[in-house]
Amino acid sequence: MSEPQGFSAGELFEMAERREGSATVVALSGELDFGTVRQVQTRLAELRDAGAPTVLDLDALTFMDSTGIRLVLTACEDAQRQSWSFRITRGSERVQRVLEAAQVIDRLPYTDPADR
Amino acid sequence: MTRRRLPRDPSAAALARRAVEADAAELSAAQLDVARLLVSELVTNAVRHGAGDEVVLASQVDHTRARFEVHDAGEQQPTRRAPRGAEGGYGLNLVATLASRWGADADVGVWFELDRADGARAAAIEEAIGGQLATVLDGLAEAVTVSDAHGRTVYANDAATRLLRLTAAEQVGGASGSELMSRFDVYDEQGEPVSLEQLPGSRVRAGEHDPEPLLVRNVVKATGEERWLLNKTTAIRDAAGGVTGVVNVIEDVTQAKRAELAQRLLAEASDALASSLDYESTLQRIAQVAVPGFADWCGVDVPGRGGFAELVALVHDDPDKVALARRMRARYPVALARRQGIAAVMGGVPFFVRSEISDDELRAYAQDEQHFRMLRELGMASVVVVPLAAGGQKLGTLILARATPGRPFDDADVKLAAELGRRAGTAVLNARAYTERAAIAATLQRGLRPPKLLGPPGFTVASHYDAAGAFNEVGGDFYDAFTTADGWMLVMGDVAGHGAEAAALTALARYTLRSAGQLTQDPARAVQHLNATLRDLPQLSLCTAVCAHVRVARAGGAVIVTLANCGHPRPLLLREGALEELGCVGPMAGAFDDSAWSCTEIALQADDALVFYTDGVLDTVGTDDRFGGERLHAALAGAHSAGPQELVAALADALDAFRAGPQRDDTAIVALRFAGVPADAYEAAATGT
Repeated sequence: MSEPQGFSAGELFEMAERREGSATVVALSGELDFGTVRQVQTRLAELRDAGAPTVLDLDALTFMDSTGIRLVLTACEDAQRQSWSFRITRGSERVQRVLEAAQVIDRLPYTDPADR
Repeated sequence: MTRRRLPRDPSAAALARRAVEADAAELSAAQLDVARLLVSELVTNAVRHGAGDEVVLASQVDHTRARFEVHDAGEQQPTRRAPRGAEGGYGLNLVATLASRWGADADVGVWFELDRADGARAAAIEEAIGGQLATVLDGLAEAVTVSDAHGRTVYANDAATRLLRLTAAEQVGGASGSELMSRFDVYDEQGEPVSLEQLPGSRVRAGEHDPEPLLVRNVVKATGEERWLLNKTTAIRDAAGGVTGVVNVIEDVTQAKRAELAQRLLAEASDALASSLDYESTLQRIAQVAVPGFADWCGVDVPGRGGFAELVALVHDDPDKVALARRMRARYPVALARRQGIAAVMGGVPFFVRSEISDDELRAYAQDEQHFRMLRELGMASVVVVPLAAGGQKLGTLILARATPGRPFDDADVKLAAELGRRAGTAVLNARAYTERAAIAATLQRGLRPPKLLGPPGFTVASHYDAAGAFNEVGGDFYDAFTTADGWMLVMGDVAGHGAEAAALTALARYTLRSAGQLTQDPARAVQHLNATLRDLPQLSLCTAVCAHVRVARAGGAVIVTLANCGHPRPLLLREGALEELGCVGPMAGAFDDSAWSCTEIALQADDALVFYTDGVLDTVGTDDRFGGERLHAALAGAHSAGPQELVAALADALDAFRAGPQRDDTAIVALRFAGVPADAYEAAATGT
């Protein structure tokens, strides 16, 4: 048995925000997982409650597991319930592979439906 | 197994992923992605739903698979957490979807495995060629296509695009097998049409394992271009063994196949030509070799009378067409003054080739409408004419034609036709020379063939002569009989060699012996003359001979035979049932300047028989022996009291019965039987009264 050395959780994850027209774009980069998802959940809840049109940008994620899927699907449910405008970008290649394997890739609200 | 102990907190998933990257680094990039994702899922589950302070990740990677186990410190049994609700379940769904197998049990926790045989190979290929697979495939000389389970070609490399005549749209959108097949006429090596279902790709899809590669002759309908293609197939199968796709590798072996066919054709031509000795049948054989493999019909022309080509051989698969062609050529002879086709090549053009001859071209060539219809019926889609040439001599032309469109003669075909023309030309020249030589020999033979012998008074005579070889009616053996001042002389000889040269030497030897014999009346001196004559020839010329002079002795009236022998088998005397070899044998004539011969004298009795023969008798070859002296003696002894005709016949029959295979040497036999005559018959001869 050995302790993993030199690893640290979360340091590879970043969340940034920018405005695009009327929408707030929450841009994620690095690894999104159970250890890093909380701050995104918190921020999305704020934007939802404020009724701010929101785009979740997944294009720069280097890793995402089902934690990310749950995040997105929960936001989608909130959006439907509360007439909140929530969309996502199509995501990095790894993100797309996970969405595809989980068979949810076809039912998500993308910013550019033409790409789908 | 490598074990990692991780804190059971939200950072565990990220730490676990780092551990996977370190412990399973040999996995391919794609499999490492999967391993990282699934480990992340299992560790997240342990953190969210498990118990205790620690999560343990165990991993093991070998050549065939990677195995990962996750359990949470053993305080409670790890349980399989089934997917439930909209909010959960995606993690284990991913594990179930992406792992080769997975499970959960008390000892090891939740585990999954990734099979890596294909992955490792794919990784090696990936490492070697990076993202350049398409570039690599396009660089191959072989055509490579990938078709899906329905036979639709979904990928074709550059070579395949060219070979299969794919359109730009098909390169993007794919093409069905039947669409592709409709562009080509496909035949097997025996010339039978090949259907789409017979191709290895279709057979794999139909459930066959590893069908044999198939060699086909593929003709592009649009252009008539002919290719020989070797089709090989590898199935792409899913885990259950179902065919999900087919990789076809199509090798263009046209060059090799053409070379092989050309070699075979030329070999057949050589065999056919070597077996024929006469001019006309040689030409017919040439035509036969080329039809139908190389051309549908073939003809040989030679310059004929009146400034027209003369058709001397024609072969067509269909005998009716042969008759048609002959009728056509009789009615519309080819004038040598024309500048097309046969006439052009006879006029010195190295070859003439026209492919895809249209009706308009044919009509322009034809002398009238009837001629046009005959040409068309004969079939003239593609034509090549080459000279029948040998040693700079143009003997005629070889015309080869394919009756139906789609198989034009290309450069390789023209070269092959030209080579056929050269070989045929040489063979024709040989056949012609042989025919001419045979004709010369036949002419000589009429003058040289041993005469019907008239014996001296009191003797009966019979002779037998067989020349070796059908065309060698005159061989090296000879005999002659003539009267001399005081008697009668018989000469028999054999010159070395066969054929026309031997015939010339035979004539020389025979007439020398006749002249010298008549002048000297002395066998030894006749042989001496022969020796001197042969020694005077520029080339070594050898001859064996025996001379027998028959005369009546001045004292006592006995009939005396005087013999001289230069290297010839000794004549036999049959007297009262016994056989005796007569005389002595001197050196062969023509061998030495200073040879000398002496005479042997024998006084004959009534009923004595003399038998002269050449060494062709002794050397006649049987199944495993030569005829030899003993058989000769036995054959003659059985007929010792018969007349000369029966003696000769008995020996000739024995030779025929003994001989195995064709006759190899000339044989000559002469027999005399002495009846006893009044002595005055010789006195008269001796005194010239």
